[in-house]
Amino acid sequence: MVQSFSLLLPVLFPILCGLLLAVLPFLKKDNIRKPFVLFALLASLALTVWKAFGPEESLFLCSLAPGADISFVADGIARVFTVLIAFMWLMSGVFSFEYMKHEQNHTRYYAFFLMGEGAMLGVAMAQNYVTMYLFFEWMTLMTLPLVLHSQTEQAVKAGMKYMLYSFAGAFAGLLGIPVLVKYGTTLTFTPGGVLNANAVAGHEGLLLGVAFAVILGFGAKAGLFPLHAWLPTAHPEAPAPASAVLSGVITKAGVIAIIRVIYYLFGTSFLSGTWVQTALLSIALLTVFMGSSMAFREKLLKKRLAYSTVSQVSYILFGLFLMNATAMQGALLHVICHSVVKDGLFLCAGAIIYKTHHTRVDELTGVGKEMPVVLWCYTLCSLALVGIPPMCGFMSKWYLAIGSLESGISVINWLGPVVLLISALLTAAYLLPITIKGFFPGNNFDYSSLEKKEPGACMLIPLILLAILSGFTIFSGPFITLFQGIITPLLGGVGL
Amino acid sequence: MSEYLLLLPVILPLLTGIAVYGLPLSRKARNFFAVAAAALNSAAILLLFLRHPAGSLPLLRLTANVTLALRMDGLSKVFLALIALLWPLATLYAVEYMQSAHHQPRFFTFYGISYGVTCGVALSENLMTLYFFYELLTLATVPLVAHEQDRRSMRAARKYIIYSIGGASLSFVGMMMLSYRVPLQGFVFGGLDGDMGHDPFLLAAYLLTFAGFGVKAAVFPLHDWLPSAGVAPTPVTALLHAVAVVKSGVFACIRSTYYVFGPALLAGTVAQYVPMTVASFTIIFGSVMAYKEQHWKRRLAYSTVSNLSYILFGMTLLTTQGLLAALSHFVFHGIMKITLFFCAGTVLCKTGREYVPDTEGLGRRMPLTFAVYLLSGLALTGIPLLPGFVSKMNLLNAAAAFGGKYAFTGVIALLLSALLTAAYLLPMSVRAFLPGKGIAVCYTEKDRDPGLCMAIPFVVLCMVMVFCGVCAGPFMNRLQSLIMGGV
Repeated sequence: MVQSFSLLLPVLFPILCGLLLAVLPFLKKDNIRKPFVLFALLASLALTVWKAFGPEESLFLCSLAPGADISFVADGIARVFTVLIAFMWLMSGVFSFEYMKHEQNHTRYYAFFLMGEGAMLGVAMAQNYVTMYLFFEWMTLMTLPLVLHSQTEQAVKAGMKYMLYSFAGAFAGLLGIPVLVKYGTTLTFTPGGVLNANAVAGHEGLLLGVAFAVILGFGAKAGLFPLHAWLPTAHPEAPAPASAVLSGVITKAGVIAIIRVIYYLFGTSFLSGTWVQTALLSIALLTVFMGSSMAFREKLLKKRLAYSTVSQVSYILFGLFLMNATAMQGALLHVICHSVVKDGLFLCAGAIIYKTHHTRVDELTGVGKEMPVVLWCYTLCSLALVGIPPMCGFMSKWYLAIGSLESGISVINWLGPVVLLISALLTAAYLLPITIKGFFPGNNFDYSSLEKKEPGACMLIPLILLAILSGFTIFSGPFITLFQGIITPLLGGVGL
Repeated sequence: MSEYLLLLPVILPLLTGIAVYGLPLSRKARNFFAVAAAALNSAAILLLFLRHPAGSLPLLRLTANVTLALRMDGLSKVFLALIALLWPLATLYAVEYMQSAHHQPRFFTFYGISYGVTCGVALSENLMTLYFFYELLTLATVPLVAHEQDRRSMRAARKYIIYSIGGASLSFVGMMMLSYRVPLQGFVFGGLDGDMGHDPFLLAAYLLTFAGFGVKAAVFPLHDWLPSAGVAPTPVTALLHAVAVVKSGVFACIRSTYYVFGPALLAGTVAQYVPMTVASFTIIFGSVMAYKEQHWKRRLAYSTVSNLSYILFGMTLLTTQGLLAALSHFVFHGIMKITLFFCAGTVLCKTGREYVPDTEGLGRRMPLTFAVYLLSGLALTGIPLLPGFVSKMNLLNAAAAFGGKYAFTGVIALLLSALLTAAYLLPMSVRAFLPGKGIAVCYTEKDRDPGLCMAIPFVVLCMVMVFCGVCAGPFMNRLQSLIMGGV
């Protein structure tokens, strides 16, 4: 593979921009800061796209200690995720330009926003376990100030909860390093896994236990039961554009880590068919169901969306745990779908809060009359998340259900689609009433109090873009081919 | 004749210490003299490294086969390098900290003398010499613990004496039992060879020695003196009770394990698993206590209890990898913990705040202090790019390579303790900069970052920390060649 220092750019550039923003005083003026942040976000997107369409490169940077190398790669998974991350960050960043007028400490917010992007891109582009772990930890730290931005006592507590849950997960993940050093051949991500069969013989039980702990640990970031509780606490406290990246993108750091652990370190041939697989599938299904039903009961809009994330990210994890090509295809499609949709939904919630100061679902009656464009975007994203064809959720859930049926794991193979279906119904039940009440407030509604409250272009452009993208099934053909190319080597050549 | 150089770092601080007390110096001149003396002694250690005397220097022949003697090997160098780095910085820090304290000449005298005694511990050629300096260290540091001379510090000093001397007497019994079986000799890497089998009498002797030296290494249930000794002025807590004294305990344990009794005798016996389990338990115990503690310096003291057992855990693996991992934490923990204590001390000295909740929002007023605290807190938690991660990874790798249920219990303990470390260090660092709005904090004019004498150690230690965290490779290689490459 080609060694190229330019691979460092997508990671370092946003971090550098964030640092400059924090340090240089002349960037702190509002009319200079905004163009600077926009430039940084656009340039990051350009850099990731450049690397995504370039040749497959890798970079060995340095060694922290013997056995702790820092190296980067632009392989299939890295390409998909980096472009996704940079794009979502751009959308939320543009949205912030208007939303943050409500909040204080702008420089701090944008500085950590940019550094968080760099760290997140580092997670996606890491070539080995240590590098991934490094960026995983730093990403938590960089995004912490976003969570407690408003600095109410509640927000600070939520931030601490976020940090400690993430650290708990990461430390469980750290367990993998010594075990893989002992029983594996390398810590570098290798399609199909790195376990050394001779060393493993006789220690399968230990390795399975460790794999289970590591996956549950990284699952903390992805909102997997039992370490999911930070999500519904932290998301409502953060400013809306920050919750959008937290929910839409940062949860995917957990997904990336789990993909790397299952498919590139332990390997599916070792894990599939074991108790670990069954247990993880059951936990994922439990999380899917629990998240949806909690969202259904929740009255606070952003908290409802946070519970929805708990549920939806576990769809992805369910697909990954099935360890077959169809389900993996569904999982990767759902990564994109959920990122787009959840980013969109949180931004809609942000626009509504920004303009009306309503945070509870039952206060939103008639909101569609005041902000029709926002509510239309909300509706499109909701439909996509429920999975109404031809919106994107349909495609991914279809693959997930088929993958589940194909898997041949007793009980799970039929229980999976059933739970997915029930959860889809619940999703419709917790998302769509807002649309209905918003557009059709009923006869008793006081129409005279309505006023036009549509937000400005900085909010509307990202919203509309995301709403359009939520229908991406229509052009999902290239994605399916792309994912197939990624998946095939992972599963030892078993195609769709 | 370069062997006589070995005496230099032991004697020099004793002389300069007495001079601090005896000479009629003004406060300024005395401060300068104390810092210069510490720096001079570090220079002497550097000279010793350069000249590298290979032989041993007999000091005093007690009986036919018991001689007090000095010699420098790889392990001595590790310890010497650590204290040579930290002592001048801590003395400089003490100058500002003790500005308005009483009995300053006495303080700087014993502070200096302790340097020499610690060098003596590091340079001991055999167990008896080590024991001698170990006892001396207790005596030299008692006046520092009791410095305030109020009820609390007198009680703490009494506790310190009882624990330390009591512990040392256990080691003494262990040593006697050893000499009953085999003639006492100098430290040899590998210790006794395996042809004694697993002699239960010797194993008992080892356990007694371990328990005795374990007192200074704050092993549960012999740890209690350490949090109490936190009443001492912070330069003492930071340097002696986070580095010199407690690391002497650990050092003595390592010496008796690897250089006297030897892995061949101990491996796979109760004398390996009991200390390993005790260390694993202490790791968790110290962290839990630190988490529950609201008094800042006591919290850090409990954190030391936990972290010392990281080192002991690595040591009890009885593999080379385990020893190297233990030594990497030996060095890194010293640097990280002294920095943490310095921060707590600065806040205590400048603002009088000693409880954790009182520091909320204080980072705005003392940005340097709390930035340093945040960085060293992250380091101790084990965030990559900082040294704590490297030593923790070394320990985990060594434990996994050793395998078995005892070692895996230790692995789980290490990871749980890492989480607890995050929980007792990081929220307060974050809250110092980003306080909750509802909290009413009254600042005073005194809430200011410290002057140069405290700021210089901060900056130097942070630079060392980042450097160690980013390129620990050469450090680990050097460590390996020091320990494995013979003398």
